[in-house]
Amino acid sequence: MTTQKINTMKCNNTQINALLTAYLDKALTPEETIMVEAHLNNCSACLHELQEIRNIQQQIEQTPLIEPPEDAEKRFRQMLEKQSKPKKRSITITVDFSWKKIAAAIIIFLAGAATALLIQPNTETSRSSLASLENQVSQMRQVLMAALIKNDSPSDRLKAVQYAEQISKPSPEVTNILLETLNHDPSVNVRLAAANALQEFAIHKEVRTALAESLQQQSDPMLQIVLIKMLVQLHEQSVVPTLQQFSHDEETHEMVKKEAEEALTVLL
Amino acid sequence: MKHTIIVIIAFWLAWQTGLSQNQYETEIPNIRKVLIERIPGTLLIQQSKENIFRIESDKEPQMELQDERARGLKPVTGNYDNTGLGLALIQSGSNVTISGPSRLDSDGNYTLFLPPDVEVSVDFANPFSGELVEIRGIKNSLEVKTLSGDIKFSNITGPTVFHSISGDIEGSFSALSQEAPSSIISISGLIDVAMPTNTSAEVKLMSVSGKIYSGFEIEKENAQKNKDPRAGDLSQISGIGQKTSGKINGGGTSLILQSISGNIYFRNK
Repeated sequence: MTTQKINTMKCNNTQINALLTAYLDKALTPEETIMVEAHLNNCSACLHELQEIRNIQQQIEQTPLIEPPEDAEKRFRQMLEKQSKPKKRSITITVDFSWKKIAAAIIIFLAGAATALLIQPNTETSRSSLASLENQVSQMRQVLMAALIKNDSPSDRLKAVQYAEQISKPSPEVTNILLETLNHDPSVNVRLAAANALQEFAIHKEVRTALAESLQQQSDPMLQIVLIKMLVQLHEQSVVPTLQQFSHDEETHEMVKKEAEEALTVLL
Repeated sequence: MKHTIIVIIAFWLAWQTGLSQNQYETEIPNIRKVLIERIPGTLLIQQSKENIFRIESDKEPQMELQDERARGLKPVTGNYDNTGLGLALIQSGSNVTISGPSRLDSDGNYTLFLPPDVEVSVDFANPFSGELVEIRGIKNSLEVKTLSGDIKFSNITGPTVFHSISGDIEGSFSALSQEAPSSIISISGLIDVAMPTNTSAEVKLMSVSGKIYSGFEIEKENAQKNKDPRAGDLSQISGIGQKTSGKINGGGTSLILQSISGNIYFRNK
């Protein structure tokens, strides 16, 4: 019970914790990166924190910059003058720490800083940096996925498949890992999740062919039925011989046989 | 008075010996995962105290004939039994494997008491395995595979990965772990799962020919992007089999319940 509490509540590995931001910025040495990834692999608290840091970075990126009113500077100077004039006459030196004025000064300073920033980079670069950040997030998911999929806990592998689903513009590597999972994962549950994830990538012809090939290897009736339904929806003709084989094979599960026969009437 | 006490003690002793279960207990610290395979009978898994592993069985282990010539040698082939109950308990790193003989006669009842926060993986996907795996009160990741054996559980949190070909999968969660997705699949058995009313999850219930019942309000997802241009604004009613997916209590970790011909009962409690 206690270790679980630590896992879910807080990770006391402050060393890793300190490296997370740098990890997101890819500012770590390769050894440190490996260490952080190895830790992330096992520590959901830190993974969660990493996601939060990423969220905050994203939010900062997305917050629109506020333009100050044009006469801000002028009004600021006027206010300063008004403020300083009576003080010159008085003998005692008192500094007026009115919170409202300090706040106003801070806001104006920030607004000024914002305008300065606005003048420098044009919007295009900031958009491209947002895109690159998105890219980084996808890459990070990919790294995490590649690490998690090798885990011996099937629920971690399910999580990896879920990450794969969230990757925008998945690379061939991701699809390959998913196909590998579909064909060789020891847990049917994980294979099934991989099959569902691959449905999203079925616009590529190679993926459809690979799904049809995979059907031959699968022995679990649930997977067979899900793959048949999927391939019928995709009008994948290369699956026909396998379906014919299923409908003649004595050993095929009754429901699979029925599904295969129905599929054949659609595809032929 | 004296006599009654003696009689009671005598009865108690008789009862104890009658019940006498064969026991094995050991203490192993820092175990993360327990793998269980080839158990010759039904299996009940319960909580023990931290670091304690206890096995109880009602079956007398069959003594193999001693080979005089093999005295002092360890058997390389055949069954390795270090518990005296016909089972082997082996530690490797942070894992413990508990396994039985490769030839099974599934007529015993075994109870394993495991530390409460270990991950458990049970492989009953063997035609000679027992007909029931029951898990009570283990609060970590659970994996169970059976062919025809039923899977029962209570007071667990998951994440769970359960799979059965023809066994029923039935039980209740004390909470649903948000750590990782949970998946429960039975091909022709029924699935009957109860969860606390405030459980939040992203559920996917699917059955090819079975019926699906739910005690939870499932907030349907926005209509999926139609890939069929002809469908236009029409909403898709059925995709793969009978499928319902959506959020309960605002959504959370993913929870998958799937069957081919068994009914699915998804209860709130």
